Amino acid sequence: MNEKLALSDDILLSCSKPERYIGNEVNSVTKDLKDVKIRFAFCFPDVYEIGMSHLGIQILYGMFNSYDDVWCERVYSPWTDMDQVMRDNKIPLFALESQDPVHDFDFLGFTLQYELCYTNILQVLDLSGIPFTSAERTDWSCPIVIGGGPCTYNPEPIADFFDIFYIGEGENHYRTLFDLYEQCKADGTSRKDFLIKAASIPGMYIPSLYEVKYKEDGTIESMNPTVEGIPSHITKDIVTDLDHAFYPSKPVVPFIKATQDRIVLEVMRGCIRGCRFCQAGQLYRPKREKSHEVLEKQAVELLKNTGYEEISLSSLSTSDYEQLPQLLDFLLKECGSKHVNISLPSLRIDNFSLDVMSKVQDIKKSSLTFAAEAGSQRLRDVINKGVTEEDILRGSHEAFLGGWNKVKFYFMLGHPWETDEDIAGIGEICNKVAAEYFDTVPKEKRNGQSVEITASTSFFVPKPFTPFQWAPMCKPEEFLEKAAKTKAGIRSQINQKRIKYNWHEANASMLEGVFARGDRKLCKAILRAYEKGCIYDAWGEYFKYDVWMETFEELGIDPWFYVSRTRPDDEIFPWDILDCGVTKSFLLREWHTSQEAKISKNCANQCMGCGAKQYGVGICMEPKTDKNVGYAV
Amino acid sequence: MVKVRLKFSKRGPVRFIGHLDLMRYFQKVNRRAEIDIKYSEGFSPHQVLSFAEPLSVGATSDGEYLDLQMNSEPDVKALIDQMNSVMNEGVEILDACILDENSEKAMTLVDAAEWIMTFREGKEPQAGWEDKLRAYMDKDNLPAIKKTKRGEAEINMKPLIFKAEVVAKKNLVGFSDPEYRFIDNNLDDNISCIHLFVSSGSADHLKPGMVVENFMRECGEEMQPNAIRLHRVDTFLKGEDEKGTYEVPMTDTEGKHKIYL
Ligand code: SF4
Repeated sequence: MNEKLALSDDILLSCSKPERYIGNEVNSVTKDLKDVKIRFAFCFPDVYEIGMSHLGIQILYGMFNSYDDVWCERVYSPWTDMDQVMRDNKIPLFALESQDPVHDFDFLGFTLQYELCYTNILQVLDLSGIPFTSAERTDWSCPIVIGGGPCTYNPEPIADFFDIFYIGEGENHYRTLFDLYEQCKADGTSRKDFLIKAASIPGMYIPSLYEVKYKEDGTIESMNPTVEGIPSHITKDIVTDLDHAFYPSKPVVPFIKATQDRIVLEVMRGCIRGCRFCQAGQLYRPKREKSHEVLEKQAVELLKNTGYEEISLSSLSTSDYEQLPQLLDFLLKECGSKHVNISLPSLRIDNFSLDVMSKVQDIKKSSLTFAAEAGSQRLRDVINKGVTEEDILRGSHEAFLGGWNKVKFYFMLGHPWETDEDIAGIGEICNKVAAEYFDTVPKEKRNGQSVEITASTSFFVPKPFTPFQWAPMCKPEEFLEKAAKTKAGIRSQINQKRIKYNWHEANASMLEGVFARGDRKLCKAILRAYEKGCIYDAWGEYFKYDVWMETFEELGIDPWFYVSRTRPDDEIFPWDILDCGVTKSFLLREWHTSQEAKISKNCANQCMGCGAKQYGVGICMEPKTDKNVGYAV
Repeated sequence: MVKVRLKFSKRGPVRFIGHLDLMRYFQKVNRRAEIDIKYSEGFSPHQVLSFAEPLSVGATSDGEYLDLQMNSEPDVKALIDQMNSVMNEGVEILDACILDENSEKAMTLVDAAEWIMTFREGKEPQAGWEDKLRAYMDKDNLPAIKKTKRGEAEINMKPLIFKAEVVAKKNLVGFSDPEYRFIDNNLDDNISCIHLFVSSGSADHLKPGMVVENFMRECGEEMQPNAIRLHRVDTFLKGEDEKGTYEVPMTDTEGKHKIYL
């Protein structure tokens, strides 16, 4: 037991949830410092309960700690009450396991899962006493700051704050980086020279070694290395054999209830669908599966080592996992006897899934989920979301027969070329599903219940490395207008009383849009907004839209430049220096096809030539068939 | 169905784990240890666990109790080892016993508790407080205001204090268990400990901190927040035999550490 605590009892007892700061959780790793050459602080820049729910950190935490010479510890953003106490008392931010200051570590790694956590990166650097920018960190007196995760596919708005971005799946090249680090520390190499050497390791993007030139209109002229011998583009690297990749059999189990309070079993990476709005669907290509035998073994180990009472299958589209029936057979047996619940997010509604769901859920309480994403067939074709009205009605019909009566719909507003008819389609499809219920379930079988439909809309934010990276994004007032139209559309339906409607806040989406396709000029805005008190932007109660807008104005930055423009086909994007495996020409082709509201085939039926075949694995290597693989979840 | 009572300690950083989270913690321990635990009926079966008396966040203990239900009668020694092998450091099963099938829950049986209190640095009363506190606790009437669900009531704490002493840590000997020593590596051996044996449980519950609070008020001093570091030595239930009524640790079925009051 590490009895040491960085915070006094007094502080811990006066702040909310002291368990966030005490470490010592089951399966957390403690090492003897004299055996350790590299101390790695791994940070999820949000509150503990969110960060502890993230699978990626658990994987790398386990992998790093499997190396004898590395000790990886965890760091999260102190919640706002603790943040204040630490500033008032000048207490440096510490890592949970050793309770030692982060400042004294060799590496500080951030996982970057969403854009609205960017000010929390600065909070963590600030509380740690680490200079904000890579340019200020000239010697070895503070850790190498490295970032990974989906937001690194356009890291330019935070480029100044990082020494290295790791592009690709973390399992592959950290060992090489650590070896280089140890060697450079041993032979007295400077920090700068270490970074130059690191630039030659696959997937390592060192932003300070590349110079950006802009055109007069503010778009990019060129991005070039400033040092000879380093790559002009950084290519994503992926795990080619998931069955043999490192998988953490002893994840850390928090004392407090994390958002994801269960075992997460990753069944596959990547997705075959190619929905045009979806960034994950492009970034993690090609689809690679784990064998069900390996997953079964991992599930048993995880249950034994964590004691969780729930296991969740994780992937972008679980129904597309080809060995799902075998895996579920096994899990139903194994979990049933142990009183463990199974949760199955992202399942397509069909006879198979309804049968499984009836075994693992309380039908009366659970709901069907349709991520239709758009209200009309035309718009679903624009976004290449291969789900039809017929799919939805057939699935609902079967489910109503099976006893379900709750349906959740997810839509996005603001897709390219969206018209008022498309928006009206949202109310119409909800109404048809309600009508389907009344047609399917006769009055005497309703037991005093009725159908409950919930429609939720979020606002579409175009992301890099998607066919919609050229698309304009709506302004907040346009979004709100669309939400009002959606609401009116729903209210005009016959079954409107059975339909609930929720929509998201628009201002936060706008900021997310700015950062998603932003460039390096935004670094100073993020720093300035942080200095003015912006933090926890992803949390509605702390998001300060006015301060952000004021900051942009003060610095002469036009935020609409990043969100509202339709980008010309030949524009150079800030993220063009990265190669995510999918080619720009493929994305452009898809962008043009979407305009004609034409769909593209999924990877199981036909290869669309996206470029990911270069990795030589997964679905790209499988023969293409006419097999009906159902609709996209 | 077999009812089992466990005695456990809570020490070190895990002292900050709240009551409900400790419950969830034990549910996971039982799964990791593959204990033949009994689940409730219904669509979402759960383990039926109950604690004797919640410990406040930040307090340590060598005498917490948890009742659980199993499908089959375990070997007590093996059960303790099995659980300790998957336990987080800081929480340790110290003892266990099989209960009579109709025995009441630990929660309703709690009758007394033995406590050790020390002051946190910088939050002590004025020097020489030890003698003053001894004199205070010797008085016959110790009035205090107790907050109840229905409002406030004036009580006399004296009859609720069964035993009391103020003693240096190195000289402290357990009231019920003479072998018991107060071990806490973070504390100096000479620190003054307020060692109490008080009435506990639902009826005549006395929070040990109340004694100190009222003492300081009488001295004209304000007690600062979180001034007291609290440690529970043990929790007791009441019994009676030919020698009279006694208090005994809740898993001590042989009565090794009975204390007659
Ligand atoms: S190369 Fe073809 S099969 Fe492979 S991911 Fe791209 S579109 Fe799918």
